[in-house]
Amino acid sequence: MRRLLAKVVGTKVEKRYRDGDGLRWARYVLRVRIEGSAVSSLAVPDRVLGKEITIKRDFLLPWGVAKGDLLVLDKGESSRVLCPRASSVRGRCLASWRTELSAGDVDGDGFDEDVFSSPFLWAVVQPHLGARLVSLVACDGRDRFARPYDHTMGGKYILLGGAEGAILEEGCPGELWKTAFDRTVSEECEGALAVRYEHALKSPEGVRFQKTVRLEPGFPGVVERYTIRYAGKAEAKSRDQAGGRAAENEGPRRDSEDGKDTARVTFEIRMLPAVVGDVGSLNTFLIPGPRGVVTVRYHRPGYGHRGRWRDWRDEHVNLRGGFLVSRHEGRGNILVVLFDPSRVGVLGIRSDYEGPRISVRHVPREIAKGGRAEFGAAFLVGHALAATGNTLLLATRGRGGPRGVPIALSVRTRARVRKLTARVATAAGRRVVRLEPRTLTGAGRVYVGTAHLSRAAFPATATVEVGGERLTVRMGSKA
Amino acid sequence: MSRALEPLTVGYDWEMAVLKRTGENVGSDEVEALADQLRGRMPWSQVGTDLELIESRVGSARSFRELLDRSRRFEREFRRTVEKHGWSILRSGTRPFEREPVGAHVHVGTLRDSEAAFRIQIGMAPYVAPLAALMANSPIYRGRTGEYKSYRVASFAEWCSTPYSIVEPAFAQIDWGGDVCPKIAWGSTVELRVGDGVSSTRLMCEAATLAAGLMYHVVERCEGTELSEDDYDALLVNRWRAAKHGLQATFRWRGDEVTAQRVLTEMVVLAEDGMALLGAGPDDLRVVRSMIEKRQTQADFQLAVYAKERGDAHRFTRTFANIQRDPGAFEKYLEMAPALPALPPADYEKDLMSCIEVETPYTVLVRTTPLSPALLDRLLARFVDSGYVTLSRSQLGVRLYTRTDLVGGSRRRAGAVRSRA
Repeated sequence: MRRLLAKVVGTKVEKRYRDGDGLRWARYVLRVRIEGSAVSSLAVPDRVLGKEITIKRDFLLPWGVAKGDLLVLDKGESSRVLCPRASSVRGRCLASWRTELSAGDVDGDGFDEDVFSSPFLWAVVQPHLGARLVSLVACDGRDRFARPYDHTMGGKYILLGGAEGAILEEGCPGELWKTAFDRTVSEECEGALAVRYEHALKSPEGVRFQKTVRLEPGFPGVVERYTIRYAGKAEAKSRDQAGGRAAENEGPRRDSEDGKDTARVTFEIRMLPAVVGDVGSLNTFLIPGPRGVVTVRYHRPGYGHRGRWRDWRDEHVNLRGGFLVSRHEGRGNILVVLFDPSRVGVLGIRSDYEGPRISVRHVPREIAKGGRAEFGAAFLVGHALAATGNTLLLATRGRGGPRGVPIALSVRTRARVRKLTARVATAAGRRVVRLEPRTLTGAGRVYVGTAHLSRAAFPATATVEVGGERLTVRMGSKA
Repeated sequence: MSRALEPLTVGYDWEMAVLKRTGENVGSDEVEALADQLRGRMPWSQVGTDLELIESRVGSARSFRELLDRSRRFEREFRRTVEKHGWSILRSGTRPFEREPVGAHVHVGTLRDSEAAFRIQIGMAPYVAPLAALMANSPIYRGRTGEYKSYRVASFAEWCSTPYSIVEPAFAQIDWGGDVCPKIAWGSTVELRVGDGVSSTRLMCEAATLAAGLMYHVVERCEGTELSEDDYDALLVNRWRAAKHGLQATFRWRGDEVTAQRVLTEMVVLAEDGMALLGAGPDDLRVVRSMIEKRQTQADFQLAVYAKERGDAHRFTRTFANIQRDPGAFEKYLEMAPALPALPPADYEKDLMSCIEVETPYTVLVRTTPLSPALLDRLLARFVDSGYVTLSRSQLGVRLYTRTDLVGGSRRRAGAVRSRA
């Protein structure tokens, strides 16, 4: 939620009183005019500038308030200006086998978000804030991402939460995290939908960042594809000059050693998985290692300390499995991130008070003029999982509809298989679910199969045998 | 007069935030330009910057009056310049929603040899906690509030003011960042770093003079060169209690539980000889004595205002900066504010127990605790012996501690752990 800066244009004292400590206070009725955002890194819609509202505030005397004074409006006061009417868009999982895209101001910040819905999840993307995937909610109603909002870090970077993209050559913290993106909706076949978000970076010059968010009815997650294009130095310069601007920043790494016009790009996905409950260390990460899956706990730093950056590769964990699981031990709350391990250089965590900040940093790429680099990731929600160092089996329960309760079984494995089946055992009997291979650009291959079960079929178990390993998950009667 | 601290001088480097209209920091480029302007207007001052903060340095003064006069001159010019830019000043131990905490460091001279400097550092160790309590001014930190009156002290100022080892001066190394820190390599002073950024010029000068008087007392009495294990444990626990309760704290003091009020009253007496050399007497510590009497700190002032700001750190920062347009705001508040009661000794062991969750690594505990590793080990061993905590090892051999009530134990038992701890 945004906060607004306001100037006092009218004052009236409603009452004066003493509090329990004997301190004197005055309650003012104030007329204030909106001057802009109180958080300079974040824009507010132009339409709110100059608007006036009336607020009530208590001030310790003798330090009352006068005309011309500046005040920061809190979340409640700001929302009266930014989002005077409640948004008609509500996130929800769909009861039918389809996907849906709607736009509306879900979080009351004055800008419209894109809300993606399917039978398994709903997700929110903020085109005005770096096209970040800010929410990913399963049918259990629990968001897999955190949104701390209030934390201003170095360089006025604000920990907004969700999952955001960053190009390290842009500078630190760069602009991408808060930039408004252009968006294009493209309907795709079989009920899938995709939205493309685009933005041309100021630095490195000539670099264009494109992100496509894709959702399918039978896939329990959001697939993101990132395309970074480099138009080249000369083109970038002429384009800028045509627009009346001189190309000032040509970037330090433009020419490669052999004299070719290239741009070096290091792409990173930064995310803040949700921390559930009071006991931080019950929130865990599962990382594939050479001797099976390693569990790493989130430890909230005490006494106001900030966490230290830890590169998990430095802790004898490899990334070969190409997945990372965030899970609460007691409540499920599973988030699986799939990536291509051959393209990722660093996977690490910083355990801050607000939550664990995860970075998936890809290895740097040199992009030749006119060329492009592609990366990808998939963010899956789930309710039960089994994992080894090589294979992950995830079970996701969707919202029940006329056909029953949908379940999705997703397998990520290093084993090379063409066909994969899962045996599902329920109270009503056994059945086989066929898992189809899916290749996700920049995020590797995943096998996914879906089925509808009756409500009475739960609890159910699903078993997959792959690469000589047998994995079984149990789905309870509640998501 | 002893050879160390001859002549006795006092100064400070006092960090202050400069805010733009929104209540955010103006940024390091602007602060550097501002410092340059101020140096131009006050060539006698040594004003500088630290990250995005202005660092007020008015030089070493030979008397309290001199320090106060220079400080007031600086303040007047500083305010005038800042107002011209349309900015405002926030003098506090934190910027409530932004970045690192903010300190006010006292420098006492004059030192000519390092051994004397180390002796003062060691001798000052017991007084660190009371001085931290007196200067507590960071109750809202990175959007958090409610646990400490000085989050800055609790968080070791993010490693810029830390408890220090006590070693024989002959074996000591010059270090940076201790709560009391010999600055013999960079100057000729001993620096008291533990104090939060101060909201009042008068208080800054009084606290600096008190610290100088205490350092002089330490030199004169050769006090504190020998500390027992219990003494050392006590001063670390006291540091944490000072952060938690400010002047309402109760300290472990020479084997007893004694209120911060009583300890500081004694300290003012101990500092009298040194303060006299600076031309000051107890009556000159007008603000300090009033604070001690009422157990009110600058943190209490902030909290009183914050209570009406609906827990919104952004909103509070703007409002508090408006209040600080009045240079005497804290003194006025102090006059109006009620006397606060002393609080029972804060139970550190209980707090430590709450830091232990599931497989909490020793590395996390040792990094967050204000205790020495030796005392921490003793407490953890006791928790394990009592059965309320279990100990395991990570693959790399790091000790992992788990509270049994979080992994299947009954809630009733958990309650028992907490009350017993």
